[in-house]
Amino acid sequence: MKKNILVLTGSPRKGGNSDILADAFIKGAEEAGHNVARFEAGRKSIMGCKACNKCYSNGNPCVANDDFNELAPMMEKADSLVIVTPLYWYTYPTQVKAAIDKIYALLVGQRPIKIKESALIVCGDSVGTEVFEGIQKSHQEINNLLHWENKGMLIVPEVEAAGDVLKTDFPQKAEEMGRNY
Amino acid sequence: MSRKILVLMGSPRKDGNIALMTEAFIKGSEEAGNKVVRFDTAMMDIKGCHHCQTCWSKGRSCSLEDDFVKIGPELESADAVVFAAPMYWSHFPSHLKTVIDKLYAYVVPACQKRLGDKRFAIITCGDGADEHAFDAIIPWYKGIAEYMQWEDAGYVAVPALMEKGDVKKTDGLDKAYELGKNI
Repeated sequence: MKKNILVLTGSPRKGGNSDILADAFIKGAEEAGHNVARFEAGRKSIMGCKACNKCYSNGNPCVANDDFNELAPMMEKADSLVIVTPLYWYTYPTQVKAAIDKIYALLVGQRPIKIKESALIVCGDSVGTEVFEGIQKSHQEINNLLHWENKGMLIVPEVEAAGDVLKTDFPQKAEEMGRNY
Repeated sequence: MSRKILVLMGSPRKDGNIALMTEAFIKGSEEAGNKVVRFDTAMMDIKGCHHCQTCWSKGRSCSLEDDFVKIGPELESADAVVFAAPMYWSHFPSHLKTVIDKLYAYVVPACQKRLGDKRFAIITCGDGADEHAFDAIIPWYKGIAEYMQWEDAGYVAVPALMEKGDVKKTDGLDKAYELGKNI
Protein backbone atom coordinates (compact mmCIF):
# COMPACT_ATOMS: atom_id res chain seq x y z
CA MET A 1 0.00 0.00 0.00
CA LYS A 2 1.25 3.44 -0.94
CA LYS A 3 1.95 5.57 2.11
CA ASN A 4 2.79 9.16 2.88
CA ILE A 5 6.04 8.95 4.77
CA LEU A 6 7.45 11.90 6.67
CA VAL A 7 11.20 11.67 7.10
CA LEU A 8 12.44 13.91 9.89
CA THR A 9 16.20 14.33 9.86
CA GLY A 10 18.19 15.51 12.85
CA SER A 11 21.68 16.44 11.75
CA PRO A 12 22.81 20.04 11.47
CA ARG A 13 25.61 18.81 9.19
CA LYS A 14 24.74 18.76 5.48
CA GLY A 15 25.76 15.58 3.71
CA GLY A 16 26.75 13.86 6.94
CA ASN A 17 26.18 10.22 7.76
CA SER A 18 22.57 10.50 8.82
CA ASP A 19 21.79 12.58 5.71
CA ILE A 20 23.30 9.80 3.59
CA LEU A 21 21.17 7.24 5.44
CA ALA A 22 18.06 9.40 4.94
CA ASP A 23 18.81 9.70 1.21
CA ALA A 24 19.14 5.91 0.99
CA PHE A 25 15.92 5.25 2.90
CA ILE A 26 14.04 7.76 0.74
CA LYS A 27 15.42 6.21 -2.46
CA GLY A 28 14.13 2.80 -1.43
CA ALA A 29 10.77 4.11 -0.24
CA GLU A 30 10.16 6.13 -3.41
CA GLU A 31 11.12 3.18 -5.59
CA ALA A 32 8.53 1.17 -3.69
CA GLY A 33 5.94 3.79 -4.67
CA HIS A 34 5.58 5.69 -1.39
CA ASN A 35 5.31 9.46 -1.20
CA VAL A 36 8.08 10.89 0.91
CA ALA A 37 8.26 14.34 2.48
CA ARG A 38 11.44 15.42 4.23
CA PHE A 39 11.83 17.88 7.08
CA GLU A 40 15.39 18.72 8.09
CA ALA A 41 14.87 19.49 11.77
CA GLY A 42 18.61 19.74 12.39
CA ARG A 43 18.77 22.81 10.21
CA LYS A 44 15.46 24.38 11.27
CA SER A 45 14.60 26.46 14.28
CA ILE A 46 12.02 24.97 16.62
CA MET A 47 11.80 26.40 20.08
CA GLY A 48 10.85 24.22 22.98
CA CYS A 49 7.23 23.64 24.02
CA LYS A 50 6.29 26.16 26.71
CA ALA A 51 3.22 24.14 27.78
CA CYS A 52 1.11 27.28 27.28
CA ASN A 53 -1.71 25.14 25.84
CA LYS A 54 -2.55 27.84 23.28
CA CYS A 55 -1.85 25.48 20.37
CA TYR A 56 -3.89 26.43 17.24
CA SER A 57 -5.60 29.28 19.14
CA ASN A 58 -4.40 31.91 16.67
CA GLY A 59 -4.73 29.69 13.61
CA ASN A 60 -1.10 28.56 13.74
CA PRO A 61 -0.15 25.19 15.22
CA CYS A 62 2.20 26.85 17.72
CA VAL A 63 1.86 30.42 18.91
CA ALA A 64 5.65 30.60 19.12
CA ASN A 65 5.58 30.90 15.32
CA ASP A 66 8.74 28.95 14.56
CA ASP A 67 9.51 26.25 11.99
CA PHE A 68 7.15 23.82 13.72
CA ASN A 69 4.38 25.61 11.87
CA GLU A 70 5.91 24.27 8.67
CA LEU A 71 6.25 20.78 10.16
CA ALA A 72 2.77 20.45 11.67
CA PRO A 73 0.86 20.29 8.33
CA MET A 74 3.43 17.76 7.10
CA MET A 75 2.72 15.67 10.20
CA GLU A 76 -1.00 15.86 9.54
CA LYS A 77 -0.56 14.51 6.00
CA ALA A 78 1.73 11.66 7.03
CA ASP A 79 0.80 8.01 7.57
CA SER A 80 4.21 7.17 8.93
CA LEU A 81 7.05 9.01 10.66
CA VAL A 82 10.68 8.04 10.14
CA ILE A 83 13.31 9.78 12.26
CA VAL A 84 16.85 9.69 10.87
CA THR A 85 19.33 11.26 13.21
CA PRO A 86 22.74 11.25 14.81
CA LEU A 87 22.87 10.24 18.45
CA TYR A 88 23.65 13.21 20.74
CA TRP A 89 24.34 12.29 24.35
CA TYR A 90 22.61 8.92 24.05
CA THR A 91 19.38 10.32 22.65
CA TYR A 92 17.84 12.70 20.09
CA PRO A 93 19.58 16.01 19.38
CA THR A 94 17.78 19.09 20.72
CA GLN A 95 16.44 19.96 17.26
CA VAL A 96 14.67 16.58 16.96
CA LYS A 97 13.49 16.61 20.56
CA ALA A 98 11.94 20.06 20.04
CA ALA A 99 9.98 18.70 17.05
CA ILE A 100 8.85 15.67 19.05
CA ASP A 101 7.89 17.81 22.04
CA LYS A 102 5.56 19.85 19.86
CA ILE A 103 3.58 16.81 18.70
CA TYR A 104 1.75 17.88 21.84
CA ALA A 105 0.23 20.75 19.81
CA LEU A 106 -1.58 18.30 17.53
CA LEU A 107 -3.10 16.64 20.61
CA VAL A 108 -4.13 19.91 22.27
CA GLY A 109 -5.49 21.21 18.95
CA GLN A 110 -7.39 17.92 18.50
CA ARG A 111 -5.98 17.63 15.00
CA PRO A 112 -6.46 14.44 13.06
CA ILE A 113 -3.27 12.41 13.33
CA LYS A 114 -3.09 9.74 10.64
CA ILE A 115 0.35 8.51 11.64
CA LYS A 116 0.06 4.91 12.76
CA GLU A 117 3.67 3.79 12.72
CA SER A 118 7.21 5.00 13.04
CA ALA A 119 10.79 3.94 12.45
CA LEU A 120 14.16 5.16 13.67
CA ILE A 121 17.52 5.25 11.92
CA VAL A 122 20.24 6.47 14.24
CA CYS A 123 23.99 6.71 13.85
CA GLY A 124 26.84 7.58 16.17
CA ASP A 125 30.56 7.33 16.66
CA SER A 126 30.45 4.79 19.46
CA VAL A 127 31.67 1.25 19.17
CA GLY A 128 28.93 -1.29 19.78
CA THR A 129 25.21 -0.78 20.10
CA GLU A 130 24.87 -0.47 23.89
CA VAL A 131 24.95 3.34 23.84
CA PHE A 132 21.94 3.31 21.52
CA GLU A 133 19.72 1.53 24.06
CA GLY A 134 18.40 4.76 25.55
CA ILE A 135 17.17 6.28 22.30
CA GLN A 136 15.51 2.99 21.43
CA LYS A 137 13.68 3.01 24.77
CA SER A 138 12.60 6.60 24.20
CA HIS A 139 11.46 5.83 20.68
CA GLN A 140 9.48 2.82 21.88
CA GLU A 141 7.89 4.87 24.64
CA ILE A 142 6.78 7.51 22.12
CA ASN A 143 5.25 4.72 20.04
CA ASN A 144 3.49 3.41 23.15
CA LEU A 145 2.13 6.83 24.10
CA LEU A 146 0.74 7.45 20.61
CA HIS A 147 -0.26 3.84 19.91
CA TRP A 148 2.02 3.71 16.89
CA GLU A 149 3.46 0.52 15.49
CA ASN A 150 7.24 0.23 15.62
CA LYS A 151 8.34 -0.37 12.03
CA GLY A 152 11.94 -0.96 12.96
CA MET A 153 15.07 0.66 14.29
CA LEU A 154 18.32 0.68 12.34
CA ILE A 155 21.31 1.24 14.62
CA VAL A 156 24.47 2.47 12.91
CA PRO A 157 27.55 2.56 15.17
CA GLU A 158 31.13 3.67 14.52
CA VAL A 159 30.56 6.50 12.06
CA GLU A 160 32.01 9.89 12.82
CA ALA A 161 33.51 11.85 9.91
CA ALA A 162 31.03 12.83 7.20
CA GLY A 163 30.86 9.95 4.73
CA ASP A 164 32.15 7.25 7.10
CA VAL A 165 28.87 5.44 6.61
CA LEU A 166 29.68 4.95 2.93
CA LYS A 167 32.35 2.48 4.01
CA THR A 168 29.65 0.28 5.58
CA ASP A 169 26.62 -1.57 4.24
CA PHE A 170 24.22 0.57 6.30
CA PRO A 171 23.14 2.83 3.39
CA GLN A 172 22.13 -0.36 1.60
CA LYS A 173 20.24 -1.52 4.70
CA ALA A 174 18.48 1.85 4.96
CA GLU A 175 17.52 1.63 1.29
CA GLU A 176 16.15 -1.89 1.82
CA MET A 177 14.24 -0.63 4.86
CA GLY A 178 12.68 2.02 2.63
CA ARG A 179 11.94 -0.45 -0.13
CA ASN A 180 10.22 -2.87 2.24
CA TYR A 181 8.44 -0.19 4.21
CA MET B 1 33.72 25.15 52.82
CA SER B 2 30.72 26.23 50.82
CA ARG B 3 30.21 24.23 47.65
CA LYS B 4 28.59 25.55 44.51
CA ILE B 5 25.54 23.76 43.15
CA LEU B 6 24.28 24.50 39.64
CA VAL B 7 20.58 23.82 39.17
CA LEU B 8 19.22 23.77 35.64
CA MET B 9 15.43 23.85 35.82
CA GLY B 10 13.86 22.87 32.49
CA SER B 11 10.16 23.27 33.11
CA PRO B 12 8.38 26.12 31.32
CA ARG B 13 5.98 26.35 34.28
CA LYS B 14 7.18 28.75 36.97
CA ASP B 15 4.89 27.25 39.61
CA GLY B 16 4.55 23.64 38.46
CA ASN B 17 5.57 20.47 40.24
CA ILE B 18 9.16 20.62 39.04
CA ALA B 19 9.46 24.23 40.19
CA LEU B 20 8.22 23.18 43.64
CA MET B 21 10.67 20.29 43.81
CA THR B 22 13.47 22.57 42.63
CA GLU B 23 12.67 25.00 45.43
CA ALA B 24 12.65 22.16 47.98
CA PHE B 25 15.98 20.94 46.65
CA ILE B 26 17.49 24.43 46.88
CA LYS B 27 16.18 24.89 50.43
CA GLY B 28 17.86 21.65 51.51
CA SER B 29 21.02 22.48 49.68
CA GLU B 30 21.32 26.00 51.12
CA GLU B 31 20.57 24.74 54.63
CA ALA B 32 23.51 22.39 54.18
CA GLY B 33 25.69 25.44 53.57
CA ASN B 34 25.93 25.33 49.80
CA LYS B 35 25.69 28.19 47.37
CA VAL B 36 23.09 27.51 44.68
CA VAL B 37 23.00 29.01 41.19
CA ARG B 38 19.75 28.36 39.33
CA PHE B 39 18.85 28.85 35.69
CA ASP B 40 15.38 28.30 34.25
CA THR B 41 16.36 27.05 30.83
CA ALA B 42 12.86 27.08 29.34
CA MET B 43 12.84 30.88 29.70
CA MET B 44 16.24 31.22 28.02
CA ASP B 45 17.31 31.24 24.39
CA ILE B 46 19.70 28.32 24.03
CA LYS B 47 20.18 26.94 20.57
CA GLY B 48 21.18 23.35 20.05
CA CYS B 49 24.67 22.25 19.07
CA HIS B 50 25.12 23.09 15.39
CA HIS B 51 28.16 20.84 15.08
CA CYS B 52 30.12 23.79 13.72
CA GLN B 53 33.28 22.50 15.40
CA THR B 54 34.31 25.99 16.46
CA CYS B 55 34.03 25.34 20.22
CA TRP B 56 36.40 27.62 22.20
CA SER B 57 37.37 29.68 19.16
CA LYS B 58 35.75 32.73 20.77
CA GLY B 59 37.33 32.15 24.16
CA ARG B 60 34.27 30.38 25.54
CA SER B 61 32.87 26.89 25.17
CA CYS B 62 30.14 27.49 22.55
CA SER B 63 30.62 29.97 19.73
CA LEU B 64 26.91 30.60 19.23
CA GLU B 65 25.52 33.86 20.55
CA ASP B 66 22.90 32.54 22.92
CA ASP B 67 22.16 32.32 26.63
CA PHE B 68 24.52 29.41 27.13
CA VAL B 69 27.20 32.10 27.59
CA LYS B 70 25.65 32.66 31.05
CA ILE B 71 25.55 28.97 31.94
CA GLY B 72 29.00 27.89 30.70
CA PRO B 73 31.11 29.66 33.37
CA GLU B 74 28.78 28.47 36.17
CA LEU B 75 28.99 24.92 34.86
CA GLU B 76 32.75 25.12 34.81
CA SER B 77 32.99 26.22 38.45
CA ALA B 78 30.19 24.10 39.93
CA ASP B 79 30.86 21.28 42.38
CA ALA B 80 27.53 19.65 41.55
CA VAL B 81 25.07 19.80 38.67
CA VAL B 82 21.37 19.07 38.97
CA PHE B 83 18.92 18.78 36.09
CA ALA B 84 15.28 19.26 37.03
CA ALA B 85 12.55 18.86 34.41
CA PRO B 86 9.34 17.00 33.69
CA MET B 87 9.17 14.09 31.26
CA TYR B 88 8.17 15.16 27.77
CA TRP B 89 7.72 12.11 25.59
CA SER B 90 9.81 9.91 27.89
CA HIS B 91 12.76 12.29 28.21
CA PHE B 92 13.80 15.78 29.19
CA PRO B 93 12.22 18.61 27.18
CA SER B 94 14.26 20.21 24.43
CA HIS B 95 14.81 23.29 26.64
CA LEU B 96 17.06 21.17 28.82
CA LYS B 97 18.42 18.81 26.16
CA THR B 98 19.92 21.86 24.50
CA VAL B 99 22.19 22.45 27.51
CA ILE B 100 23.26 18.83 27.49
CA ASP B 101 24.10 18.92 23.78
CA LYS B 102 26.38 21.86 24.53
CA LEU B 103 28.49 19.67 26.84
CA TYR B 104 30.07 18.60 23.57
CA ALA B 105 32.41 21.61 23.85
CA TYR B 106 33.77 20.11 27.05
CA VAL B 107 34.67 16.75 25.55
CA VAL B 108 36.34 17.86 22.31
CA PRO B 109 40.15 17.80 22.10
CA ALA B 110 40.19 21.63 21.84
CA CYS B 111 38.46 21.97 25.24
CA GLN B 112 40.14 24.67 27.32
CA LYS B 113 38.32 24.06 30.62
CA ARG B 114 37.75 20.45 31.53
CA LEU B 115 34.76 20.00 33.77
CA GLY B 116 36.44 17.55 36.12
CA ASP B 117 34.93 16.06 39.25
CA LYS B 118 31.34 16.92 39.98
CA ARG B 119 28.37 15.38 41.67
CA PHE B 120 25.33 14.91 39.48
CA ALA B 121 21.64 14.37 40.18
CA ILE B 122 18.29 14.68 38.45
CA ILE B 123 14.80 15.61 39.57
CA THR B 124 11.91 14.65 37.34
CA CYS B 125 8.22 13.85 37.24
CA GLY B 126 5.70 12.46 34.82
CA ASP B 127 1.96 12.71 34.37
CA GLY B 128 1.48 9.04 33.65
CA ALA B 129 1.21 6.29 36.23
CA ASP B 130 2.94 4.08 33.68
CA GLU B 131 5.56 2.00 35.43
CA HIS B 132 7.82 2.51 32.41
CA ALA B 133 7.62 6.31 32.66
CA PHE B 134 11.25 6.65 33.75
CA ASP B 135 12.74 3.68 31.90
CA ALA B 136 14.61 5.90 29.47
CA ILE B 137 15.66 8.78 31.72
CA ILE B 138 17.19 6.94 34.68
CA PRO B 139 19.67 4.81 32.71
CA TRP B 140 20.29 7.91 30.61
CA TYR B 141 21.43 10.13 33.48
CA LYS B 142 23.52 7.31 34.91
CA GLY B 143 25.14 6.99 31.48
CA ILE B 144 25.91 10.71 31.39
CA ALA B 145 27.45 10.49 34.88
CA GLU B 146 29.64 7.60 33.81
CA TYR B 147 30.70 9.27 30.57
CA MET B 148 31.53 12.59 32.26
CA GLN B 149 33.09 10.76 35.23
CA TRP B 150 30.75 12.61 37.55
CA GLU B 151 29.64 11.05 40.79
CA ASP B 152 26.02 9.87 40.75
CA ALA B 153 24.39 11.74 43.66
CA GLY B 154 20.97 10.15 43.14
CA TYR B 155 17.62 11.13 41.70
CA VAL B 156 14.03 11.94 42.53
CA ALA B 157 11.41 10.76 40.02
CA VAL B 158 7.74 11.17 40.88
CA PRO B 159 5.08 9.58 38.64
CA ALA B 160 1.38 10.41 38.15
CA LEU B 161 1.47 14.16 38.72
CA MET B 162 -1.36 15.50 36.61
CA GLU B 163 -2.00 19.00 37.91
CA LYS B 164 0.13 21.82 39.27
CA GLY B 165 0.73 21.20 42.95
CA ASP B 166 0.02 17.46 42.83
CA VAL B 167 3.54 16.84 44.10
CA LYS B 168 2.44 18.19 47.49
CA LYS B 169 0.33 15.04 47.91
CA THR B 170 3.42 12.85 47.51
CA ASP B 171 6.76 12.51 49.26
CA GLY B 172 8.41 14.20 46.25
CA LEU B 173 9.14 17.50 48.02
CA ASP B 174 10.68 15.74 51.02
CA LYS B 175 12.84 13.64 48.72
CA ALA B 176 13.95 16.69 46.75
CA TYR B 177 14.79 18.48 50.02
CA GLU B 178 16.84 15.47 51.20
CA LEU B 179 18.63 15.30 47.86
CA GLY B 180 19.50 18.97 48.34
CA LYS B 181 20.78 18.33 51.87
CA ASN B 182 23.03 15.54 50.67
CA ILE B 183 24.14 16.80 47.31
